[in-house]
Amino acid sequence: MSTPSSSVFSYRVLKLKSSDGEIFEVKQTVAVQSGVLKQMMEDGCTEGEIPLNNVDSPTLAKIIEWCNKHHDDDVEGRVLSQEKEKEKEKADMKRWESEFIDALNRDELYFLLIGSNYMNIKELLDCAAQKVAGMVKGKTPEAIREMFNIQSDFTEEEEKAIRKENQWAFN
Amino acid sequence: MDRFSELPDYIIHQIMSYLPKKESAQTSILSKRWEGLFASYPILDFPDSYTYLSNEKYSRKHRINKFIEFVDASLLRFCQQKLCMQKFRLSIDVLDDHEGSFAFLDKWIRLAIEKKVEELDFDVQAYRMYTLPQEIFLAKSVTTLKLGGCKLENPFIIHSLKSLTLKDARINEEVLQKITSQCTSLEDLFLSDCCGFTNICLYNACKLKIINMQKFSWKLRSIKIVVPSLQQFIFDSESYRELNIVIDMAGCPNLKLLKLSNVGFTEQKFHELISKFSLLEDLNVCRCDPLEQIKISSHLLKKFSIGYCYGLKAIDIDTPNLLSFTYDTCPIPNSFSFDEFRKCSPSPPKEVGNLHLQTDFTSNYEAFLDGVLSICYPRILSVNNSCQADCFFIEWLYEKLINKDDNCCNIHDIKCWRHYLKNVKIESFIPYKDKKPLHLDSLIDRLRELPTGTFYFHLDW
Repeated sequence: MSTPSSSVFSYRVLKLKSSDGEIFEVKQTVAVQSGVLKQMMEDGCTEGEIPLNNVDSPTLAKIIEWCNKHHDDDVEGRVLSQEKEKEKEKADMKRWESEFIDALNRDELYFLLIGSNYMNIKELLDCAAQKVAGMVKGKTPEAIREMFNIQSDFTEEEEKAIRKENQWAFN
Repeated sequence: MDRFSELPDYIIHQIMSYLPKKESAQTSILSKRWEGLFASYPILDFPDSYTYLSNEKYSRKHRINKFIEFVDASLLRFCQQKLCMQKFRLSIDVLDDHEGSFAFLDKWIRLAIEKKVEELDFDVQAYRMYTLPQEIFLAKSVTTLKLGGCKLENPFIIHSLKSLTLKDARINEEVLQKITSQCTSLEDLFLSDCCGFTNICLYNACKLKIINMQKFSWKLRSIKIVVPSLQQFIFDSESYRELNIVIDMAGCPNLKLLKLSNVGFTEQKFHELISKFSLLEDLNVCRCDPLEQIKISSHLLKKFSIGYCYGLKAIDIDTPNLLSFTYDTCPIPNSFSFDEFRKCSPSPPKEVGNLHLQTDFTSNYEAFLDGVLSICYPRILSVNNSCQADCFFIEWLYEKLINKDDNCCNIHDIKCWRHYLKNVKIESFIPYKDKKPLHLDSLIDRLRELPTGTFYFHLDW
């Protein structure tokens, strides 16, 4: 990340503790992608183990994999590449992202949403949210209910009233 | 189990933001939980009245009234929640019922401001212009404000405002100047189709980074900008004839990007302007016909693009760190003399990464190629293959590169490109549609069967 403050973090590592007690070591330059960890680093309270009570170890491993892929430790020192190469890099990254997200099963995706929200990693949350939206897109309400196992708790009249209120969306 | 419904509201709203408007509204019928989620969705987006009640057999007027009812109900429902509004976007054509509709617009702006809206995007089409209500003064949370078809009679002060867009708006120079200097957080300013200006003068805008001005009438005479924080200036008059205006930007020494289109510059005015920007990295000049000569010398310039400048006769570029140069639809000389060229430009050609060539029927291929390869030695040379003329050019080019006759300048000390080209091979062909490269030795023989796409030659120097 090319945030101005990232340069002062150097190559020290943070110790992240998942909800099931596993310890993960992460370079500070990588961890800075998490809004929560970045704030902790700026406040200087990253000594010892950092407990992440909402993130289990398989999810944390996935999140770290994402952050490792997305971090760039030597932005300043890298020679400015050609426009074309930059475009290619971007396209490669997009492909990697969609492969990464597509490989997850529904449970993993669910915990990744929770974890990336908890750790405040905006790009990962966006990417995962986009994936869920893709799953929903084009489906009828009945099909969505079935996919997510949602039980309708409306009476017939209530459902009619909602349809009428949002008429434009249902015709 | 119903896992995804258990996600926190914020995440579900995030998911909704990636759904088409209609589909996100349909989720309200899934269950009571989802109905509540849709009611609390903080992005209230009503892009245009026609997508809403388009299938009905009612008159336009009736549909607009229905649309107004619908927006009103949606806003009131959101306002019952104790939540902040992220975005309120509305595009509406109010037809002739001005008084009635304008009262609703005033009310909605008031509600949005009460709900601490961050992004307000209001586009009003009306025969008589809609005047923004004074309540806009009370907006404390707006960071992005986009106004289309509105009249701004008085300047406002919104300290949180970072981005301001005015499209087809009626505003005078004084009000604009006051807004930009009083909204102390303002970073981006975008003006389009605002016809009330003759002399624009912007100063005291301490954080302004980007100014983008599009579509100006012939009435505009001058622009003076004194904003040391300014990094990007984009100006396109989009007028049917080039606007002959005075641009004074001596007070913007930190400018990095400059894009000028449809400006009737003389050479002197153009060079005077760009001489003020010693930190310029990206320069784009388009449709400036009176320009005959361009002379640029900079160690920082990385990107330079010239397009549709039909009067151009000479370009002199001294930019050792340039990464990209585009020369699009401008005159190409019909003849080329290597000896003469070397006399006035004695530095040997540099190797470059990519060179993309595009020709038309009228080009003299020989002069074109000799000229280009006297300036630089490309490692990758790419050519579009989209019509028959392109096929001819590619065949001609391949023949020239493979069977180069280098008995041309033996008696001279400085030799032309033919003497330095070691090897040529066809790297690949990438069709426009699938983006997957084709690698085949016989590509050139199959040229006419290939779909439209781009040819890549690899050149060793």
